[in-house]
Amino acid sequence: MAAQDSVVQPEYLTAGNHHMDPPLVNMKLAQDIFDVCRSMSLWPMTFGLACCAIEMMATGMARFDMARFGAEVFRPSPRQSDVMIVAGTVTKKMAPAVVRLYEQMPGPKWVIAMGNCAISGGPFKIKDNYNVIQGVDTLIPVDVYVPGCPPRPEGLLEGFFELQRLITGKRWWPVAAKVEG
Amino acid sequence: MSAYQNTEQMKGDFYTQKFEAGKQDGTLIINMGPQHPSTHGVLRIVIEVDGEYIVRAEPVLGYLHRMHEKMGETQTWGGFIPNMGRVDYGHAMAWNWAYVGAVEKLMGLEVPEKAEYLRVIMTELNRLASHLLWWGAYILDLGAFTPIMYAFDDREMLLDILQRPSASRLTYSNFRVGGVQMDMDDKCIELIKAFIPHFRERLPMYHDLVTENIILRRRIEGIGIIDQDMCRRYGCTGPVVRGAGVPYDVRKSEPYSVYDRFDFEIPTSDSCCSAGRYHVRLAEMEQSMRIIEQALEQLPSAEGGHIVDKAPKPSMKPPAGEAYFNVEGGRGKIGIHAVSDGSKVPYRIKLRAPGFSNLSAFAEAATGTLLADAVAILGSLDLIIPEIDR
Amino acid sequence: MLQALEGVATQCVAKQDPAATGHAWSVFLAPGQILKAAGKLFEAEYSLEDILALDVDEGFLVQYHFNRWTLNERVVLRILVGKDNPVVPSIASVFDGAEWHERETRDFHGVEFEGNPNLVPLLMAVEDKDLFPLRKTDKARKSIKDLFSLGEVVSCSAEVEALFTEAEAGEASDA
Repeated sequence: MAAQDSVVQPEYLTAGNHHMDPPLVNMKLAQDIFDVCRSMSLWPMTFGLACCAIEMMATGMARFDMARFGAEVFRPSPRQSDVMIVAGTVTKKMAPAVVRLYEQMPGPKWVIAMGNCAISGGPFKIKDNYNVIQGVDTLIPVDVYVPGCPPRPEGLLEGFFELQRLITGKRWWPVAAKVEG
Repeated sequence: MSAYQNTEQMKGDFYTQKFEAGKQDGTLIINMGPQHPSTHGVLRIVIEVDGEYIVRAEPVLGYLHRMHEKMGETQTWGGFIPNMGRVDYGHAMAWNWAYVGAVEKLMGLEVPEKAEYLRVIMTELNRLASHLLWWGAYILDLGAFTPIMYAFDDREMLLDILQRPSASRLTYSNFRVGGVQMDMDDKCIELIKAFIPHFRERLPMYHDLVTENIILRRRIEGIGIIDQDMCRRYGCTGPVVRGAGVPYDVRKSEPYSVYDRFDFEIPTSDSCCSAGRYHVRLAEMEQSMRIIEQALEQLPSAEGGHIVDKAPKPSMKPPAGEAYFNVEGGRGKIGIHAVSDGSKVPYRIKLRAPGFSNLSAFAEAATGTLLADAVAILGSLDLIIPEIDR
Repeated sequence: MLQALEGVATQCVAKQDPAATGHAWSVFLAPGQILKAAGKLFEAEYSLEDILALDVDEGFLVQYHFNRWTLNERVVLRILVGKDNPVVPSIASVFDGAEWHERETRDFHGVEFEGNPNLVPLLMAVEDKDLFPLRKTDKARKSIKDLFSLGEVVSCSAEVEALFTEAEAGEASDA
């Protein structure tokens, strides 16, 4: 996804000239502390569009449990969420809704593009494409890409850790051990 | 001018404006979706409410139209199988089966007996996973947060079992024209044999905790009447038509593969309401387990391998003709109408999705009910939007 | 099934092999007869499975699949309409579910259904409503006889037979 192909201009976040104001308390130490607090309580928005939504739900359930890493509740309202996990294919009809929801989220906010469809159109990137948006980063700025069709819940958790690393500068959780054989 | 000051958008889009044209006095038009807490996917319903009562409802589709039928004309015959996993991720194996069944009909290919049994076992396990997902999500829509945890716990066990022969957790595409991709190893069969008694213990617990719960019963009994006449007018199939008292199941009415060798019942309910559909699906889970047990017994004596010898390559060229193959999916009757012109790319693949017909009955079933009941009705239809939008 | 369609002027009635094609009967109709045929099938306890269109050289072949709950006997009603004016009467007054199937067929192929209460795009985005994505290019389009055969004819008019006359030669070269 080349930079010049994106409709997102560098100084604005979306095509509707949406931008975020700088924080009120703009001291580095305060922001660093806030960043750690924010990254430990990232509340996702329920934006499951297609198959990846089921794996996102499975990540929130008892076996993989995203809540232990901070994603305690999935908020349906964009006004109450920090991170938008775009899980599934974005079509032409849905695109304005995606942008509007992103603009409604209060900053600081992040986007995880989960699954191949959100990254680049995935299995629907065909020559005669007429309806699928080839990657949600043509609409909104994306912070973390989690590939897979659908990605395993462990993959989404790793994407989450990567987002926490982007926010705070370090990875907080152990790396999974390699299994022999 | 930012999007916040866009007064153009406040008029509503094409569908809202068209819906407004027939508006009565004193009612409010609201949009349910396309992003809403219900976990069905991107479905939008434009509703006209008078207070809390729904006067008129119209589902607006197309938010997840992913060009499957167009891809059916650009992918090769074998290359279209992964699409079937994505059309309905709830019961992906049934869609796989419908597609390869249609191609096998076109080619006149006979599938070895062992592959048929493997298909049956895997599809019925997938049906259990699909119904568990429906059940958990339905109760979540109605406000209870615990049952979905239990449902997903059982579902994870099923996914671990199904991962062994298919290498996927959700969007299965392990069916091939002539059989299945991999055989089930002994460990897999052992896991299935351990799962069935475990799940047989859990089902009565679900019944006690959830089905008999007075809050659930008040929310779903008598809500969303879809009777036999409506079913026939809209073409509803699956648990919707079985909840209306009709014992129609593709596995019994047009038996395919080895289903005629198993002894199982078709649960029906005469109540025509959401509670009827709910009970039908829970009873179907028990019947699926019966089928799996019988198939496991008959599997060792089955002949053949997991796929026909000299299986067709993905770039196969079925002879010219047409074939319509039906399969009973978790949501209803899945149909694939495949037209071949003899080349390695299909001429036309028409996907007949059960959810499409079931959802078209929603507008009539929801008129006159409370807004909260619309959620209960939608959940009882068991919708997976990608199969409706294709 | 034949008694069910009594009184409807058919262009061709043929038995098909359910094991090979999934259909028991294939009936060609003129567009004007579809509403009557749908009404008769509704009374005979058939339910509508789906409606689809096929883009062929001779025009659009609109196909309706019907089947029963009690007895499995799939009927496919076929209507051939020309490319320049593809209009078919809507059966939404008999089978309410047909409204959505007809909207989808209009989205994909551009076949207009007269009498459909709500003929707006169902699946396509509104700005793409005249895109008709499943229409084929001239190079890819085939003729009916290259695609399927007539089956065991019970009664057939001359013009429908003419559509299938070179069936033998067509299939032999494609197999």
